Order: sequence, then structure tokens, then C-alpha cells
Amino acid sequence: MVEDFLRGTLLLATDPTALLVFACGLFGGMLFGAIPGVNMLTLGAVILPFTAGMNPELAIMLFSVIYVSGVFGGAITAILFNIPGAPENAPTCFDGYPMTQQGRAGKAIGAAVSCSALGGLASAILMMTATPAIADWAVHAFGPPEVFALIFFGLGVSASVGARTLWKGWLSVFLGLLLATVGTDPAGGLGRFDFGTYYLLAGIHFIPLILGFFAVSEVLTQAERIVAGTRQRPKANLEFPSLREFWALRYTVVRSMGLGFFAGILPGIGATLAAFLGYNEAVRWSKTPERFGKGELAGVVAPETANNAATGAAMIPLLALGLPGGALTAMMLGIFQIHGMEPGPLIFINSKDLVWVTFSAMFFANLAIFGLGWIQTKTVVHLLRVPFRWLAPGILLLATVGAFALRNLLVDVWIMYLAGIAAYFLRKTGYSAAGIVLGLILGKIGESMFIKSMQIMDYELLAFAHRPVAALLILAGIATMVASAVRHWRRFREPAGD
Amino acid sequence: MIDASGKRKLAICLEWGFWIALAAAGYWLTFDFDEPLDIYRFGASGWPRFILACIVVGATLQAAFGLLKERRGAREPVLDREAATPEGQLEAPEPLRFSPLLFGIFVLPLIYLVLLPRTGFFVTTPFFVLAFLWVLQVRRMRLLIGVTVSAYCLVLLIFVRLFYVALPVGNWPVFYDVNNWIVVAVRNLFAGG
Repeated sequence: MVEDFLRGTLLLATDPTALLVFACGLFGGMLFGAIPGVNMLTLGAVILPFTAGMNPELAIMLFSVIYVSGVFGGAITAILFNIPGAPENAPTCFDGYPMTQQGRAGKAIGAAVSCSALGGLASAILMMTATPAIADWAVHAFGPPEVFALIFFGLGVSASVGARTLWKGWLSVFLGLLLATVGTDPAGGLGRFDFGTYYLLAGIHFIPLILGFFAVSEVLTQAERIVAGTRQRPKANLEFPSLREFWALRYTVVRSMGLGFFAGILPGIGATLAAFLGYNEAVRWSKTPERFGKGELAGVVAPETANNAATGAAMIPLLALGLPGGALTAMMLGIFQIHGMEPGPLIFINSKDLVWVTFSAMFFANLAIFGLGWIQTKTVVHLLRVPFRWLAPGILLLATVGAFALRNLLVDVWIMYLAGIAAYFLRKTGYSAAGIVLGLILGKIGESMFIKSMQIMDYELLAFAHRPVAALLILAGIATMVASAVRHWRRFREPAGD
Repeated sequence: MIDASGKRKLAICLEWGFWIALAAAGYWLTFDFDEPLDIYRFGASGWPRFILACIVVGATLQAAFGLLKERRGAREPVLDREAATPEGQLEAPEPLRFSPLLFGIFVLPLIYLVLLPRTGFFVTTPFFVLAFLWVLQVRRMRLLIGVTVSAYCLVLLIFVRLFYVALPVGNWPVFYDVNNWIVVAVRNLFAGG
């Protein structure tokens, strides 16, 4: 492993183009993560079409670095503006934004910088150790039924991410699954829900949807607040947390690292679930749980450690099984497809350089966050002084070009704006844009794997029970759904006024 | 007059109606591709119909629990910390506010999209940016022009000069020529030619 890591580092350090791409990914991820309204997904979506002209090692490495720095960068907007760069930064808002309102933005961002880097480094080391072993195991244990079961397991918890109620969460996921069926069906090649237009035969691409759900809807929401005069500009402050404060949070950091890595392995959930789990566990183990949600430092530390710890882990299902753990890893899957490559266990044998350059780049990207994050914090806090109304048209232009450049189709731009408007109303009514995106991403793979599974198992649904890994994952998925339904039922039975 | 509880009940029923209508329309459309497949027993419509059934069940349960809870005089329970939107809002969603400017925020991008294939990206974009800034209550001329020129130039530099993105040049005769002239001019200008 050490030899492979050193080889990957050498390949990275001795190739000026690779270094340039690394630096661009690092700064680009941080910048796009930090600018309100755009995020690492916007950057990924904008540059995805151009990766066709790059060599696959550099393209995957670029996206992995963007992933690491972007997950961290998203924390800055979550803390400063209550706009997480991505769903995985959502729990950071709970305590980060109140800290900003209390004039402790620097302290919150400082904690996010340090803990993102710590979580990411630990995850990168674990990823280097664990991925080849999991890949080896996956060759023998994972066929289409297991992959379908894994997706089912992932869907089991996706309903609880971002929605106001359990039912709204599930309806969001179902809507995403339904959108995934638009286009040619994976079994017989028949057009579905295409309304007679060939533009929809290729299906609804998730990138315009993501741009619409997150960038456009955020601009609409903020614009509405500007028009209504309810948008408040937060205060800027640069005080960092002390070493004593960090030491007091050591258990939170270690616990969140473990949770983050475990959750990151789950496809379709990854860093988002990691951040929520990290936050929830920080509350559960705290001696003063009542302080959470009101500006508690541990409330920033826990999700930021966990979501960055999930970045390395999310690469495991992507590389070892070809399953994306989220939107950005789904884009990486797209890069593999653009270059005619298929991620999976064999990639560790056929494309060893690609894997280890990526691992090394992720490790050093996390290391760089320590230094650059500190410098960025000193500068980015001043963004609080730039009126959002100046940034909004630029964000829309960037999103428009990003959606159009994907396939040179205006229909993608239409989809993006309509998704943005739809997401604006969905947010008002408590539905989850993240749930729809997860449903869309997992639905495409899920249906394809289900068809293959049925063909392999001769249309016997109970045959899943004869495959231990598939049975275990399906049972765990069902258990998750039952547990959340029971929780919902208990709250439902609570006396009025909850 | 409908009281607050009645309004909430009406909202629950309307929401249920929306999902059922969506599912019904989806089910009706599945007949367009409901053909038997030799290689797959459930056919192309099997999976979408299963999802549509899930939507009906989910929407009905949501409405039933909502109405039941309303009868007991309480709100539907939220998902604790998970109740936050992806934007991290724990509190109840903001109410819808209607105003001409808000209408403009929604309509302007749609007008922009209708015009893009006709008048082209390069001619339409500065006017769109200018109009959007105006809707966002930017009224100082220097700011309006400054932000428009900065955003437009940055997009031209990055996407036209560096990435060579083939953005729409329009299909109305004069606009087509003007758009193409801008593309050539930008590439020559930034190339130093």
C-alpha cells in the first residue's frame, strides 16, 4: 500500500499538468463551495463535458479533489449564509449559522476547516487501506441482485434526508424514481414518457436537475427575500477556536470520523447521511444537548468531520462496484463512461495508476485544506459584504451555460429552470430536493439491476433470500424503513401541540 | 368563511389531489409503452407502474395522517433534526408572498429561455442580467452597468474563449449575424489578434 501511495504521489508530483489540475480542483472546489448559490456540483456540472478531452486519470483526480475541497467549501456558505454548498453541509447550518448571527463566524469556520481536514485525512488513509480489500471481496460477493439490494438499502434512509415529514421524504424519493424512468427503458429500448420528442429519449439528465434544485431555487428564494426586504446580511468576524476548545471536542471528532466513513460507503447517501448521523450522535452524547441548534461548536465540528470522512469512503462503492455515493461521484461515473471505462473491481488491476493518483490527490487535498482553508476563511468572510443581488445574475448565467454545455441542448436549460421553480415550491411545502435527486440517481441504476436480477433469478423475488449479502442488505433496508415509520407513529401519537 | 383548520385540511386534500392526478396521468401514459418484451417479463411499464403505485400509497398515507392529526388538533410531526430542508431551515417553510417583482423573478428566466434560440445568447444575455438586477431592486445606473458588464465579460472569457462552448447564436437573421460577430470578436480580442 505504501509503495502504491508513493507511486501515486510521484506520478502526481512529477507531472506539471497533474499538479495544475490538482491546484485548479482544490481552489475551484473551495471557491465554488464558498460562493452562495453555486457549489461543487455546479463546478462539476460545468466542467464535466470538457473532461472528454482530458485523460481519464486527470479527469477523475480533478473531480476527487473538487469533492474533497467542495464538501469543505460548502460549510462556509452554510455557516455564513445558511446556504449549504450541498446537502451534506445542511446540519452545519444548525449551529454554524446561529454562531454567525452571534458574531462567532470565524470560530465556526475555523472549526470546520480543521475538522474537515482531520476527517478527510483519516478517511483517505482508511480508503487506501480498505478499498482494495473491499474490491477483492466485491468480485465474489456482488452481482446485480446484491447491487440492487445495496440501492434498496440506500433508498431506505434517503427519505429522511431534507424533508419536513417522513411522507414528504418518501414522496420526494418516489418522484425522483419516476423521473428516472423517463427515456429509453433498459430492457427493451422502448421510449417512456418521451411525449414523442427525441430529446427525452436519452432521459432526464441529473445535472440540469441538480443545477435547478440547488442553484436556481436558491437564487429564487434569496431573490424573494430581497424583494420582500426580509434578507439580512450577517456580521463578519475572524476569531478562531482555541486549542483547548478543540481538545474538549476530541471524542466528537473521533466518533464522527467512524460514522462518516461507515455512512460514506452507502451508495446514494454518503456524506449527507454521514453529516446527519454525526450531528445526531454529537447531540446524543453531549452533556448539554439543549445547547445544540443555538450556536454550539460541537454542532459544527461533528457534521463537518463526518461529511469529509465520508468523501474517501464514498470512493469505495464508486471504484469497487461502480456505484455513485452522491451527485458528484455520479458525475465521476459519467467520466468513466465518457472514456469507455467501467469502474468495478477490475479497475484496481487495469487502471492502478488512476486509482492511486486519485487516492494520493485526495490525501494531499485534505492536507492542503488545513493551510488554504485558514487563508480562505480570512478572505471569504468578506463575501458577507457583497450584496447577493450582485451575485444572483452571475449564478444564473453560470447555471445556464453549465446546463447547456452538457449536451448542447436548450431542453436541458428548460429542465434546469423548471426544476428550479419546482424546487422553490417544494421547499416551501417541505419536500426534499435532495430526496428527488437521490431517487433519480439511484432509480436509473436500480431498475437496470432489478431487471438483471429478475433475469438471473428467473423472476423469483424470494430468491433474494438465498443470497446472504442481498438478503442482509434488504433486511437492513426494511428495518430502517420500519424504524423510521415507528418513530413517525410514536410522534404522531404524542399529545397535541408537538 | 373557512377557519385555519379548514384551510389546512383543504391544503392536505389539494396536495393529495396533486399526487393522485400525477399518478393517474403517469399511469395513463404507461399505455404508450405497455408492450410485452421477450427478454423481460414485467415489460417496460412494470417499473414505472410500481413507482406510481408507491406514489398513490405515500400520498394517501400522508393525507390520512395529516387529516387524522388535524382532527386531533395537532400538526403532522416533523423529522426532528432531519426536518431541515437541504438549506438547513429547521423552522416551518416560509409562506408564499406574491408581488409584481417576485413574479418578475420567475418570469424573466422563462422569457430569457424563449428568446435564447431566437435572438441568441450573446445578444440576449446582457439584457437579461440588466433586467434581473433591476428586478432585484438595483437602481443605480453605475451598478447596473458595472455588474452586467463584469458578468457578461467573465462568461465570454471563460466559456467562449477558454472552453469554446458553442452557445446558441439565434435563428432570426440579424441576431444570428450579430451573435456570430460577437463570438469571432471575443476570440480575436482575447487571443490578442
